[in-house]
Amino acid sequence: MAIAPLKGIRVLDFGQVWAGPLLGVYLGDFGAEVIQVVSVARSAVQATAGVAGEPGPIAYSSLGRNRKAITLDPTNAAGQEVFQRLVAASDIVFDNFSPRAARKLGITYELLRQVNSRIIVCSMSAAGQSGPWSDLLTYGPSLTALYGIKSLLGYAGESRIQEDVADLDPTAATYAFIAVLAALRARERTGEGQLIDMAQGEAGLASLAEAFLEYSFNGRELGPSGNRNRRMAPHGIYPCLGEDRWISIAVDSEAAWHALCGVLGRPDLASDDRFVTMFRRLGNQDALDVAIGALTASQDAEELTERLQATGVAAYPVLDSFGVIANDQLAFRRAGYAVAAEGITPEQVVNPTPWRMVGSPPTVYSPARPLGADNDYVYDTILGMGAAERAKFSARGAFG
Amino acid sequence: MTSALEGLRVVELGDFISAAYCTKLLADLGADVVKIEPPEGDSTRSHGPFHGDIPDRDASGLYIYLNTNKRGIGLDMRKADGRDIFDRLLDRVDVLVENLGTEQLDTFGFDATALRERHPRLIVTSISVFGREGPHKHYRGHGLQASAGSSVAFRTGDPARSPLAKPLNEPEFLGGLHAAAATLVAVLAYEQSAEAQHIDISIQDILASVTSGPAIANALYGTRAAGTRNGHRVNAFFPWTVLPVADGYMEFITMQERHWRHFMEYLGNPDWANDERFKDIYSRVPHAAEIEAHLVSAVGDKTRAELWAVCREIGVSFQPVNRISDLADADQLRYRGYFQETVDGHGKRVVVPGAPYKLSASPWELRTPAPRQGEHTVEVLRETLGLSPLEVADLCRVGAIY
Repeated sequence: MAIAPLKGIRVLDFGQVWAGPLLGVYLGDFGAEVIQVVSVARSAVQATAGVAGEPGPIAYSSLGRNRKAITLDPTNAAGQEVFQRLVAASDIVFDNFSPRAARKLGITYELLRQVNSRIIVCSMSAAGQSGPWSDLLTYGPSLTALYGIKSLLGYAGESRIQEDVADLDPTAATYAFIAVLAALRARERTGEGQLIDMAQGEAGLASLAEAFLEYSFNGRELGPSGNRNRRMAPHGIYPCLGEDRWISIAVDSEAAWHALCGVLGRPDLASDDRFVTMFRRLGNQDALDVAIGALTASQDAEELTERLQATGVAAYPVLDSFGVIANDQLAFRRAGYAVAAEGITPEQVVNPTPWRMVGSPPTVYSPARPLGADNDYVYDTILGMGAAERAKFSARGAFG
Repeated sequence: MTSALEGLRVVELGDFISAAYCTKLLADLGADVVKIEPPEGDSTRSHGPFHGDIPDRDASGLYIYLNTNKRGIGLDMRKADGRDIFDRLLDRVDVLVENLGTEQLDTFGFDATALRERHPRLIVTSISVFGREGPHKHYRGHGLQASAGSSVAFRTGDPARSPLAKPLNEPEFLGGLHAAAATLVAVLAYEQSAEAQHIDISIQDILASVTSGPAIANALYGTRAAGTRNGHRVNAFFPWTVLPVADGYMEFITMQERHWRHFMEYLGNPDWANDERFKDIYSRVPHAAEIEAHLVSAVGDKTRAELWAVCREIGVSFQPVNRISDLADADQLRYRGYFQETVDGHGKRVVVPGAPYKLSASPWELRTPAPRQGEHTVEVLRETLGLSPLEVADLCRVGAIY
């Protein structure tokens, strides 16, 4: 029987833009009660998280799904008092502010543990809670620049390509989710919460460890190398028939090399002196890529993929966003994702948590909620405030 | 202090990066991970980097990095006795992480059904490029195919040139990262329900649904175009661009007008800075190339360090495109102790990236270096399986272990 393993875990979500809200998605998809805290004064920053109002497909696909939504302004004394009462009734507080901004809201572990010793605080700032860079102002694309990630992206010799999106954000959120789950498990034994200090830049660097190791061992900068690989050739993205159509091909064995030349109608190329072994192909990649590209240019990317895969060559068309939506393999996987909300099909949720696990499936329960939609539930039901008490806090500006 | 994942027992059966990174993330938080290596060794042993470019299977950087805090046993899965040991090991652990693929597992007699029947309490985490079910489950693929099949490549690069895949082997690392998160969810679920499950991780799906999710939602629901390659500049607002300076590149990005004003003041408020067409982050977009030319002629002869010092002083969010060598020296990473020391198979000191997160009460820590090939075979067979010394020697003699 499928279960929601985080049921009963209550989370205060101060996530902004993408990295933060995605951690809330992960927690909510597995059953945690995630309360998105928005101060009306700051709500503009949360545009990505708060696609809300109508429970149509985009509200389920948005980073705001599976949330309760409250308004609260912890920067004033009344709001801070309410915030601390919420902390006393919660398991996890997380944010992706700079340390300075988090302090202004009162998200300080040393303070919050006095209120609730079981509380887990996860702060996922750009450069961490300490050190000379900790209060630097960065954006996703400048954070990848600062941490050397951008220096590896680009065509050979030119590290000046922008990511389409700041894709360090989702990676950082996934690391943060691991840390939070680990802290929950530790708490089962110790009964105590803890602080998770995560620097998004440091997490991003971990996935590119190879580049640091090469420098550390041999003082060599790998730099950007386009689509090339250090142990496979050809390994690239080649033009196909049609406007902006491409295929990816990675040759990982001599058998695959012979198969590729055969499918492309040039079996003679396989025994070309320059290309006859993997080592020789790695040494003659400019000529190799020109030769392959000339042969793929007249082919349909999908058809060529099928023919290459049938002979054991790793190949796949380069999909754009619409190609991703139409893709058979992704559609198959998406159809299997759990949706517990009425009127929504799995196909309409194009950013599921993409792990197939039948025992505790990531589940879409509810759409993003409008600003403050759950104030009654959270303040009256969870905190037990009455109308009079709420009015008092409201008059003092607690709810933004 | 205790480790967060103390008591969690994991077996890794795989090759190269994704499975090893998944179990590294678990081991570094305290899980007891046993890595199974075939007689020919993991392919990361031959990947390097090697000191002085001298190949050495006990001193390959990628292997050393990926296998900290694990125990290693040498097992020949092609031998019936090797498979038998593996089977007995699975009875004594909580999780199996594998990235071998269904065909290889079938060959060994450990297809999903067999695993479920023989080891109903075992969580099995499978990592592959396309996933273990579906029309492309038998497709061959590497990280390149995941970048291609997710729109990541299509949306990265110069519009007039080819799409760009994620660099190095980043997709394999991301597969391991997501697998570790899903595995921990399954561990929590098991502790509540006493039911184990199979987790099917697809790197293509990770890049499509998570990395590209918002872009694809925008395309599907019509709030934004399909997404194209942006080259060095994204034209949503300006500045959001990378420009060349004396010793490399700088990232110029801000949404705050005061940053721009402060930077213009630093440039001495040149005439073009007051051009009415350039007055805000949106009005500048159609004139981006013209403004870039002004910026490059104003600061193109300055170094990244010079410009960054100015930007930090005047509170502007422009950052250098650092190289890896810059990171190795960065005061921030030194301050936080990011880089950590371990040793290679000869006991020689090696510096590797450290904790991706700092947990105050149950910290990430490097306890033991990556195992030498077969280093813990005897220990694991005796302690975990309770074999006698003679039985271990016999298994070695028949070539099942080494």
